[in-house]
Order: sequence, then structure tokens, then C-alpha cells
Amino acid sequence: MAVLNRALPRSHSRNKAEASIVTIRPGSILLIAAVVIVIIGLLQIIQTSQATTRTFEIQKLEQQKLQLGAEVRELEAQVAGLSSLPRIRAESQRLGLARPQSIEAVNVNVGVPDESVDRLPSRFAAGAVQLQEAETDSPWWRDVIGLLPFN
Amino acid sequence: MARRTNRSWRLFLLITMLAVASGAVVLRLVQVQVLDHDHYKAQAADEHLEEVVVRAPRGAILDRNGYPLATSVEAFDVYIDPRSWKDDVTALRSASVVAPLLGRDAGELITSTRAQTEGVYAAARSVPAAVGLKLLDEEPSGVSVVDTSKRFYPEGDLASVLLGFLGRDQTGLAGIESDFDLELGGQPGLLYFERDAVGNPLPFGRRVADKPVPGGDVQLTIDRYIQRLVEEKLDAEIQRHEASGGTILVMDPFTGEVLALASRPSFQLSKLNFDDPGQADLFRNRAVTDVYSPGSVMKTITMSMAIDLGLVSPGTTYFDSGEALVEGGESIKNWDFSAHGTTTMTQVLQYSLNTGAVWVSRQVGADRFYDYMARFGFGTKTDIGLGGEPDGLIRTNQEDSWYPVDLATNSFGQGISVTPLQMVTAVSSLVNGGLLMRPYVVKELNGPDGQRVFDPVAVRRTVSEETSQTLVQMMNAVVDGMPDHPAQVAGYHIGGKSGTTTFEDRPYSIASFIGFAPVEQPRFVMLVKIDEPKDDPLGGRVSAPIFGALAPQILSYLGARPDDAALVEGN
Repeated sequence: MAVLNRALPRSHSRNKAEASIVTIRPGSILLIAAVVIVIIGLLQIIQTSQATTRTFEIQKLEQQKLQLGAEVRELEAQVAGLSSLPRIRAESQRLGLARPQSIEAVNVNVGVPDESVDRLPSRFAAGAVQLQEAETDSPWWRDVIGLLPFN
Repeated sequence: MARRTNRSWRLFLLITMLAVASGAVVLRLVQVQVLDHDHYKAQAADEHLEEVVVRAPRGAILDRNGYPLATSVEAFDVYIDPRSWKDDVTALRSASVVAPLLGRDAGELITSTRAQTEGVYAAARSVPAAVGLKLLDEEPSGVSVVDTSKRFYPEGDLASVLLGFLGRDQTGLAGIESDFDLELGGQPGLLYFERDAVGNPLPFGRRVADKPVPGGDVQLTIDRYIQRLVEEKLDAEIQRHEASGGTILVMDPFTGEVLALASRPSFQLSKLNFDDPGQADLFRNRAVTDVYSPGSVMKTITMSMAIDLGLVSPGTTYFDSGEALVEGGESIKNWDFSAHGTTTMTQVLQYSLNTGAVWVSRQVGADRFYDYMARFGFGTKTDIGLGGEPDGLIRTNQEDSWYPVDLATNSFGQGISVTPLQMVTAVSSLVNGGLLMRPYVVKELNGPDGQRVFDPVAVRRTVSEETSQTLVQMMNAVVDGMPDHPAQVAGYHIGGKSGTTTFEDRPYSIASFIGFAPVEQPRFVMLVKIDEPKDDPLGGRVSAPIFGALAPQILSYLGARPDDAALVEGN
């Protein structure tokens, strides 16, 4: 009997569970599943589409980079061609230039500046002048010693 | 009972067979998926991915001031996959786009492509950038366009034998292009792209690339201006003297830098023809690879030995009877069969007396003579770094085949073979204070790994500084001390020595002159060598005037001040 008494609440709870299952309809489950599938599908399409767009953009940019690189190298070659000796010679001929028949060199012998003339720029010379003044302004006792005959 | 036993046995057999079969399948899967994984992965990649080698942009070859002598411009290689051109309609549609751009006939292009049994067909290599970019835009079926580079020479054919050239595979085959191929060439890259069943690249398929590493620039010691001066003059003089060839080499004696290097015959970069076997002989850089007997130019070396040993001085005299008898009964005469009587050492050089050179070599002795020859670098490569350099030929008294007459003939540059480069290097040591400098043509390498700068290298001392100064004065006396010497240059003091090499079995000579300027502080040493001039055999009359014509232009360009410049007093 004791066993029977314990079994009663179990059957009661099973009934409750059965009642809750019955409340979710199969149509709803299918609908949810369909929505989830559609969302996943859409996400995948969006992702693939974005990847394809990016790949296309990358390829276009790569091609643009290639084209710009080619143009840069062409320009470098043009610069090299324009600075070449044959071109310089052609241009000099076009301008009517000719080689000198003789070259005369002239050495310009510039005289050495007087020692008293400051050769430093003024901003540096100021200090030097002060130093020179300080040196010329000798103390009185040195002048006295200078007057002595043994000098 | 027996029936039940029989049934269980059959069941056991079936289970065992199934187990063995399952085991075999599992083992095979392990083999395919684990053990041979890389092999099958590679096979799959090979099936789905097309692999194309992308050439690295090749570095430039620059002159000493950075002006390009050889550089690369963008170009494209065009490949066609024959599998995608199996269908006539596709092939015709693509060929009608590609063929006009490549300057080919559409039908011929289809035939050539279909004849390719394996891999892709290289329809064109190094097509101009404009063509390649147009093809990239059009994207014709089965056609892949790979960017690469093409050699461009802004200075035209200047220094062609030194620069060398590339093969069809863009590998250096001669000259600097070959000797510095690793540095210039860089590392090629690999481009993989996914393809469809017939080999067409998938428009948005996976593209994997190992990017190529660009090649580095090679900066030479060559000065393009001096090089052009020298080449133009050499061409004109070879034509004027109806010579078979010639060499002019200009070097800075204090550093060993080669400022200009021209040799003829040579090839034109603009007219290269690999199918012409006759052109192969023109690819040598003769200033480096070919040997010749230097003739009387060698007397300066012989004289320096005796002065260095203190055996003679410029004023030392000997009696020139016009003939020198050598041990073994051989007789050596002066080149003009003259006899000058009592003659100084300076006059030996001025009048280029063979008997004087023989007398000096006797004073030096064979042992010391060949020891000095080795010190001057004769018989050894200069290690300039260019391919094909020989040691030269010199027979010393240590060899059984040597005779005393060899010492006599070697003293005035006969019976010995040296390269023009060796000769210039040796004479440079006479005028730079007595140091043998290692010649070099490459100044800097600028690559992805950084910059490598080549500094001057003093190999060894050849003679003392005093000897060097004495020789400078004696060689100056050879040019400025002789009236109307054709190597004289107004306003500058010049030193030099001519040489004429004659042959018993050949009617024509080699006429050479080696000189330097200015004497006070030499800026360059220049060797002029004309092979087999038809109108005059003498170096003093053929090559010395060439030096005399080139020297003032080079000195002016280098900014060397003339000695007799007008003096203006100023404040």
C-alpha cells in the first residue's frame, strides 16, 4: 500500500508535463525552424556577397597598384632617358652650344686679410673682441715692470 | 546440434570478413588522410591551383654619380592555357583580342598554343606595360598576364662589354649582369590562383602569392662622361688607323677605382642576336680577359726595380753600343737600331732603349727581377671581381723552360703576357707612392639586405715612396722632356711611356701608351692600346696622341687646375 501511496504524485506530475507539451504546437516549431534557417541562409548569402565584393575590390586595387607601379617605373625610365648624355648632347646642339676650342684657367690670388680684421661673424666676434680688450687692458704693475731696464 | 554449430561458424566467418573489410577501409583512410596527407593535398592543389613564377624586378646598374646605365621598366609576360582554347569559339574570341596586341596572327597564335602539350604556352615575354595592362583589363579567356621587368639602357650602348646582357630568362649571361646576377636579380616569387575545370582562373577565386624580392642596385666606379669620351675616341681612332681593335682603361691610381673601361671589338646592346654564333666572340671584356705583351711600357717597371734597390739613379749612365749580348749568344738591339753612347737612365726611358733595359735588368738580377714582377702583380689575377680574368703568363727563373734571354726580353716587355688591367694597376703603384691598389669597378651594392660599400684596398707595397716620386719625375721627362711629344697637354705636366709590341709571325704591332696627369697629384692613369694599326706601328705615334687628346678633357671634367693658369691679384 505504501508503494501505491507514493505512486500517486508521480502520475500527477506526468500529467502536468503532458499538458505543457501539448501547449507547444508543431506548426510553431516548424515556423521557428524555418525562420532560423532563413536567417542563417541570409547571413551566409550576405557574408558570401560581402566576401565577393571585397575580393573584387582587392583585385581592382591590386590592378590599380600594378598600373601605378608601371607608370612610376615608366616615369623613372623617362627621367633616366632625359638625363642621359645623348639627350643632353642633342639638346645642346639644338640650342647651338659647342665645345670650347681652348680652355683658359685663371687663378685669383686673394690677399690674406689683415690680422686685426675680425674674420669671425659678428655674433661670434663680440666675445673675441671683449677677450682682446681684456688682454690689452693690462694691470698698472705690469706697466711698471715693463719700464724697468732689465726687460 | 550440428546444424546450430554450422550456423554459428558461418556467422563468425561473416563477422570476421566484415571486420577485416572495415579494418582495411580504416587503414586505407589512415594512409590517405594521415600518412600520405601532404602528397594528396599537393595533388589536389595541383589540380585546383595554377602556379606561375613571378620574376623579381631587376636592380639597376648605376654609374659612380648615380646615373643609370641599365635599369628596368615594367613589362608583362603573357601565357595562354591550351586547355581553355580547345573550344574553337572561345579560342577565336580570345585570340582576336590577344593577337593584335602582341602583333601576331590570331590563327597562328591558336595553332602555337594548341601545339603546347604540357603546361601553359608563353605567348610573349616582356611586352610593354601598356599592352599588359590592356590585356589585364580585357581578361580574355585562358590568358594570364604576369608582371615582370625589361632592361632599358638610357645611355644606349655605352659600356656594353662591361655591363653585359641578360638571357631570355632574364638571367645575366655576361659582364656585370652575370657577375652580380644574384645581387641584381633578387628572388622570384610564386603566384597561385584557383582555376576551373578547363584551366581558366576563377574570377574571385583564391589567389596566393609569394611576393618576389626585388633585386638591388649596383653602383659602379665608372663615370659615364669619361666612359663616353673614351669610347667615342677609341671608335674613331680604330677606324682611322684601320685597327682590329683596342682598349682604353682609365683608373684612379690612389684608390684603384676604374673610371672608364672600353675595349673593341664589342657588341651593341641594341643589336644583340643570340642566334648569331659570330657575336659570341664580341662578348669578352678584353681589357680584363685578354693578355698581350706590353712592350716598352714595361721599362718603367724594370727601371723602378733598380732605383728601389739603390742600384741606379736617374743620372746613372751606361754605354749604349746599340746592341746588348745576352748569355747564350743572343743579341738584342734597340727598336730603331740606334746607338746613343753614354746614356743616362732617364734617357733610357726617353729614347726607349732596349739595350738600356737589358743593362738595368742585369744589375737587378733574375731573382730580384721576378720577385719584383710578382710584387707588381704580374702572373696573378687582380681580383677585380669580373669573370674571365686570367693570371697572365710569365716564365720565371724558377722554371726549367726559362733561359737568360727571357730576363733580357722581359725587361722591355717582350716574352711576357699581361692584361691591360694588370698593366694599369702596376703603373698606378708607380705614381701613387708605391702601393699596389686592388682595382675595382663596383662601388656600392644597395639591396634589400642593406648597403655594401667597397673601399679601396692596398694589396702590398711595390716600391718605396721615394722610388715612386723618382719614377714620376722620370716619366714626366719622357713626355714633357721630349720636344713635341704627342701626349703633351697645354697647361698640365704629364708623365707616361709608350710601348710597341711586334710579332715574328704577324705583320702588325700592338701600339700602346700609358700615362698619368697631372704629375703633381695624379688624378688618373690611362692606358691606350691599339691593336694592329695599319698605318703606323709605333705606340708613340698612334696611342700617345690619343692620350694627348683625351687627357685635357678628363682633367677639365675632374676639375684639375692647370699649372700655368693666369694669376690675378685680388683683395
